[in-house]
Amino acid sequence: MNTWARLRNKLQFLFRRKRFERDMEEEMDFHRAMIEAEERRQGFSDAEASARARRKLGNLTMARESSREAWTIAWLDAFAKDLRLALRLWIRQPGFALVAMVTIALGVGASTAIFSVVYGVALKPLPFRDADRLVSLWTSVPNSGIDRVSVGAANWRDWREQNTTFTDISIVGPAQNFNVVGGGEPERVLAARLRSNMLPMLGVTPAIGRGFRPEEDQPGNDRVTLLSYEFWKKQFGSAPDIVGRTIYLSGLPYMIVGVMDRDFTWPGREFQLWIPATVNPDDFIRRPRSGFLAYGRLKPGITMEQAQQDLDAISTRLAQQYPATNAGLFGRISPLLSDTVRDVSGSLYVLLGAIGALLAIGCVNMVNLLIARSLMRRREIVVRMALGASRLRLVSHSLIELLPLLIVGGVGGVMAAYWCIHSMVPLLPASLPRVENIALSLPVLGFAVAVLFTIAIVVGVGPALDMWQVPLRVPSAERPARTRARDLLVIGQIAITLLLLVCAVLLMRSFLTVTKIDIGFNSERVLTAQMAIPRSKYGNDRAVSEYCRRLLERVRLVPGLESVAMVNRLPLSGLSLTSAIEFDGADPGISVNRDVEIRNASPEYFRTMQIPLLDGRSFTDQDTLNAPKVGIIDRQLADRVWPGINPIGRRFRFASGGSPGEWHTVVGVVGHIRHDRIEEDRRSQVYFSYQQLADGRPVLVAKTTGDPEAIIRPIVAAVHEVDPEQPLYDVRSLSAVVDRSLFGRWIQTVLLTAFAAIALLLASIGVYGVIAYAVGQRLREFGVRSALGAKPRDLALLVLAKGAVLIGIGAVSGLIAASFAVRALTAQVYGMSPIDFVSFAEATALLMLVALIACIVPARRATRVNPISALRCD
Amino acid sequence: MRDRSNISSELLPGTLEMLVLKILSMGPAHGYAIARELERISADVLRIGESSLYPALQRLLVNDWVEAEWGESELGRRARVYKITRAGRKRMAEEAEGFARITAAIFTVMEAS
Repeated sequence: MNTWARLRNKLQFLFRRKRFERDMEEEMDFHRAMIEAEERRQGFSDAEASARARRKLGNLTMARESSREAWTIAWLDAFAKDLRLALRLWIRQPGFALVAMVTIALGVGASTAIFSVVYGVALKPLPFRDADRLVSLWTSVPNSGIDRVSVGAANWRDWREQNTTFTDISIVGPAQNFNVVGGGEPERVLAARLRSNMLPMLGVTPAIGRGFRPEEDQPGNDRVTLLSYEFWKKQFGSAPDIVGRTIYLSGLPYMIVGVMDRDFTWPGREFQLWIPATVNPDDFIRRPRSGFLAYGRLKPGITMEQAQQDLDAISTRLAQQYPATNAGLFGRISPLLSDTVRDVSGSLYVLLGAIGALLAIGCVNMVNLLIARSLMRRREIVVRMALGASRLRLVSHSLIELLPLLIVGGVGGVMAAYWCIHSMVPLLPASLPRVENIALSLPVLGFAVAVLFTIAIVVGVGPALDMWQVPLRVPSAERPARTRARDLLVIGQIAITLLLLVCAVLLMRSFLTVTKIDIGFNSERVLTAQMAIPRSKYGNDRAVSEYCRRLLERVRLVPGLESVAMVNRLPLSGLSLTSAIEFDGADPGISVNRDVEIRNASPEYFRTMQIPLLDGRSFTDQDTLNAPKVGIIDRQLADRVWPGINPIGRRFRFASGGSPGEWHTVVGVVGHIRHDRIEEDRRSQVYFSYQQLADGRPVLVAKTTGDPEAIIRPIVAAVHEVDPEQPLYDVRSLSAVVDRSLFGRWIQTVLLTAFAAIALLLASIGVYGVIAYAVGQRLREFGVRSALGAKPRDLALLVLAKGAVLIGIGAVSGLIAASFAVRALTAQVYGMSPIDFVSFAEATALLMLVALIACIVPARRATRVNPISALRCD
Repeated sequence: MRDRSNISSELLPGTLEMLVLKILSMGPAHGYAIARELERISADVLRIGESSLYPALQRLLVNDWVEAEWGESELGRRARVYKITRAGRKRMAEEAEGFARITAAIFTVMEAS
């Protein structure tokens, strides 16, 4: 057979229908004319000939029909017909079509947008060769309660040399700030330190030039740098002859050995440069426990468990060999990807689950509407069946009817998701890892299509089954089974809504609790600015301290300031500095605290931040390098290490490493503050005078009399008066810093609350629909009751009782489901148990209230039944 | 008794197409001429209705077994003239062979004693 020719011709026919009809017409005319001519030849008159010809020709329409049939693709034709019918139907009933399309668009759009974040952040493989074999390594000291800290250089070296399960293990050193002076304002760039074996281990090669060589890992040989693509473009105009040029970083010459690819943003997108990760040779002997981020690649075929066992065996050996530093110290591995996103993937999946629940509620509404509609169309269906429509055709018709809604809704949804991604991504918190991967990529589009298919199946299967089962007679009353199905759907809606409401209330209450936490300082009217002081210019601690003092002196003259101070790490900014401190005269068990926040502060710091000075004095300008060493501790530490003793005059010193530092005498006690996160009180603070402990990364803090933003320019100008090459970055008000630290919690609470609100709206529409339908069905009964003397109140109660039963069953199932589901929120709930009675009660009350209001409207209709008209209708 | 077959319903399926191909193999013709020619050759035994002829022609067209072109007719009107293609001739030969086999088989059955 000529399958191909036939298919080609039939497809061409789709576009030549008009011409076909014209040809057919003319051909038939010609045929008739020939017969007429024949008849005339046989002696008939013109009129007779024409009449005979028409008789002879018979049913021309049928001939044309079956001629056309030869050309059409049967199922496609039927499909097109159904589609045309459906379009006409929806144009006649735009209300339902609109609701359905908006529901689908919102469902697809919102879930796709959230999934794009989940995929980009938590699922998309890292852009490295065989990325699933990459792991991060951490130090854990279970006895000291240390779970996950960075890896010491000596341990890294030993793990790397002694293991049998890793292809290689490499390290990232502490990030380094450089000042680059080009044209215009001096700029601060952030460099990451990579060991020379890092790039080969990741399976990455520079776009231009070469990676680091092993000899460049040695201190003194390390003045080489790799540029990021963006930095190369911006600073060097993408010059092709970049390799071998010299760049001055904070005044020191570095040789450029290469440029990385545009998408290489490792270990974070904030880095513009990479320099070798050198290790102080002393560290291999003193064996500090932490200092470097370690990453490894498992050998092919090696499982995580095998590698962990290997590492445990080495750790045990090292503990025997170096008991002073390695006793009880273990290496822990975790997959690199899940490690990168461990802080956020939990809340992302919660959001994805919430949006799924919302989608389910929206679908249930559509199903309910469709069922109601198909009941109204029962007569039409029965007539069509009587006229010979097959059940299969009816089922396919009922599915094709949904197609325009699904297509428009789906396209609208993808467009909404695109818009969401583009307008939301810039607003996401900077702390969210891998934000640059969030896009409407192919897998994300696939997800959108899958969601659309799921909606189609869920929404389509009800009406399709309905068509399949419809009896060939006009029904007089609704089958109870179908009513029950709709009741069940509404119960499910109520349950899911309550689940979402409980989660939203939990998060809201947690958020309120968090904002009420006493953070220990006052963020009002405080401006902050980060600085990096280059050691190349200010070579020793004395020079740095001197420079800081001069800066403060100059900035103090800026009008509109109440006080100005410096501190080396700003609270809630995400940066910290900790050390082990030994407290003189404390009980042996607590005399050495290994995890204390180390701050250097200028005299005005506590006044600027309004951290209360509880005892003694603050620092003064006399607390210089030559003066007696002093310190200030927070109240929490004072109570812990010297309980019941006046801490003023007591001493503490650095306890890390072999040679302890000088003793510092406590001159003051200040209030404790939250430093890392508002929600978590992890460490106490110890303060040093900024002239006795220099730090190259001070933060300028200034209490202003008016709007802090207005003082930015004068302060920058004042700093540049002292050193025109000094960059200031991250200039923002302290309240903005505090808000930013809460942004992740805030956005999650807002999103989940919005989802819950929409769910509540959809569910009340669902309840309203079912109750209103039930009232419509029972109008006659209500008429009879009213005629027999039932008061309007009784009728209303009858309706409300039906609603209350549905809502009650739904609420109970929702509460049971919620008591399980809230466990997913454990990490996000603060200050209460996830099974928080108040939250559950508030959510339930709100749901009941709104759902009952949705019942009142149809109930009022029942009370206004006129017995006469109710009995007459039908 | 009827002495004329209504081809479309009483002949074996596909036979009408084979007959049309056969007539066209003797030269291009328009629809009316095909019907006449069939009647003439079969001595009026096979009379073809328009409601069967034109659908059959369309089926041949879809399969590329015939081609159609608008041309001038004897009456001076535009007429659609059909022409057999090479594929059509091949098809006709196959059909004829199949038909011969079947009729031979039918004869054998009918003459069995």
